[in-house]
Amino acid sequence: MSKKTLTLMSKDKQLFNIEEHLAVQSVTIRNMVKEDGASSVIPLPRVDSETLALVIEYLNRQQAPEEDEDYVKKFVDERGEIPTLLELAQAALDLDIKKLMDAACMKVADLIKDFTLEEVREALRIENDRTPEEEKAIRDEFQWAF
Amino acid sequence: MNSVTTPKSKKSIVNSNVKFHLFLLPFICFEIFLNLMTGYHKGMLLTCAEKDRISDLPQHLIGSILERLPIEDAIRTSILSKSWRYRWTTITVLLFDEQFSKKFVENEAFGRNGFIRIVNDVLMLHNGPISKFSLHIPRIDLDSFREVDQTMLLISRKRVQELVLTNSNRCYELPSYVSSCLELRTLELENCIFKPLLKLEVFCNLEHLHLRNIDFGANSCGTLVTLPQLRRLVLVTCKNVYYFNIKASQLQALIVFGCPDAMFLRLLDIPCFRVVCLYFVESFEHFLRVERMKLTWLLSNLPKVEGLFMDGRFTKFLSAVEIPKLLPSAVNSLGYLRLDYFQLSDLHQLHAALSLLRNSPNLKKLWMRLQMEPQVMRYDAGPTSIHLESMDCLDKTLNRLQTVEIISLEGSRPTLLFIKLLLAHSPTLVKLTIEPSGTTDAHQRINIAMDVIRFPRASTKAELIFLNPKP
Repeated sequence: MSKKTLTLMSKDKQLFNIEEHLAVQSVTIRNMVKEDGASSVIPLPRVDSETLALVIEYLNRQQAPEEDEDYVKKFVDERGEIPTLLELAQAALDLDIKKLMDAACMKVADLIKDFTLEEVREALRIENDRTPEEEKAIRDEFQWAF
Repeated sequence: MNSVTTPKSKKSIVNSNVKFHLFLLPFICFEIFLNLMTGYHKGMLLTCAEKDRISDLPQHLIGSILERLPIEDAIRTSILSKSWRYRWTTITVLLFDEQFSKKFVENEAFGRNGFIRIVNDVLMLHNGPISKFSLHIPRIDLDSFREVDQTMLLISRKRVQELVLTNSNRCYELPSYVSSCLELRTLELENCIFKPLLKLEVFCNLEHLHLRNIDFGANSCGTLVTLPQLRRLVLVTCKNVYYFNIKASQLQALIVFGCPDAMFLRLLDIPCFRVVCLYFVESFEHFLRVERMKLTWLLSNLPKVEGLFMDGRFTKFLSAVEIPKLLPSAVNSLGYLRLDYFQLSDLHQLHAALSLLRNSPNLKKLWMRLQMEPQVMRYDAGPTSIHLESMDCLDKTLNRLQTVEIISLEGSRPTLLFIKLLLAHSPTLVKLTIEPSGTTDAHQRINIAMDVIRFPRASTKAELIFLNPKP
């Protein structure tokens, strides 16, 4: 008997096939399969094709369970760009793939940990809408953290 | 554009076939917005409607990132922009660990109890439940634990699931509020006293219990503690464990490290154990109220054990005359044996090691750290060498053994004979790793390697790996 395949569709309407037994590492997909057998295409309207390709690459990994932790860490390390990591974390959150989401968030945290506030704003595209007075008030409130 | 990326595809895919599942609907509303956002790193022009990337991500994801930052970094994000002002206040992981307290202990500007006041300020601003909370009380001159009591009161209202309280200070008397943390799954305590009001069994959901430097004599008075969900129990340098009368029928892992009167006989009477780790650390003479135990009894009580870790000192606890060659029933489940700080020149420890090997037909992995041999024994033939060279020393083939790792090897005669024995009896061995002791010089290390290379090997596939000693 051939292995059952599922089809996932990205936001930009690209289709990806993946074997069902690998796809069900995603709790979201597992629940859909349980519900109705997920015979049709599973749309992922928030995940772009580049990110979905990464997720599929992750789901297709052939690691022994004891090496899995190292693998997922390396997997996100190799994609060290914050925008890519955020997309990946978002996709992993939607698909409920906990290990991947944890690792991607960890990597983002690691990257921004040593940033100055200005660098964090730049990396996360945050517009500073505070007056210097407001900033000072917060600095005073949390003196110990600055 | 449709493209099927996996070549294994057999289905033809038609767009109209797409079925939108209900739970995905709210996400679709975001799509236009997200298109803008993702356009940013693909070089598209952004309109003035651009939002900060991370603010568009669900709060859950932002929380996951903030939770992984040191607490002060997470709090600093409140300055980023107006919408970030209170984002940190809903994170569910708050860790005031040793690293955190160290900063305030070194900086006197915050006063003696300053760091605990900061912890309490943070907790008062925090909003919502906390899944994991940890606090380290450093060794400083504390006036009282009053502020720590307040911390405990604040977290007792936070539906905490994991509570870690490490204490390098004098013994801390836990206030009774802690017993309202009914949702605790993991509890780790160091150097605390339970007031009589704190009964561990109120934590009926507890799965992991880790106790370090706890004196049960002052606390439990021998009353039975029932923890039906407990999976993992760790006791490290606790006192009067004899009085700790616990019933945990689901316990799978037991780690006992340096408890001078642990009541192993009682603790081990549970059928589900998968991992058991027994370290005496000190020599047997320092132990009180410990009944000697037969190896036969120990192993027959662990029918499902997959990993067994023990130190050389623990074997002293197994009664000397009662280490039989073959046990009535083999330990079929055991796959991983870890023997720590073993002295192979000690006949008792050698017998225990051999008996474990002989009676574990499915053992796949053996890890051994050797203890430095007494000077006089190093090159002496000694009774253990004579035993190791006898014909029937290990009259069993280790048919499943694949990996062996021996570290801290000094190259004494019994240790080399032991390796020889392993190589001769392990037909499926894939890897033998040897890491000589840091006390050896380059010449001794070459001698060890030359000796081991000459030993006949039952496995044709065995790879020998020599590592440099760790500094």
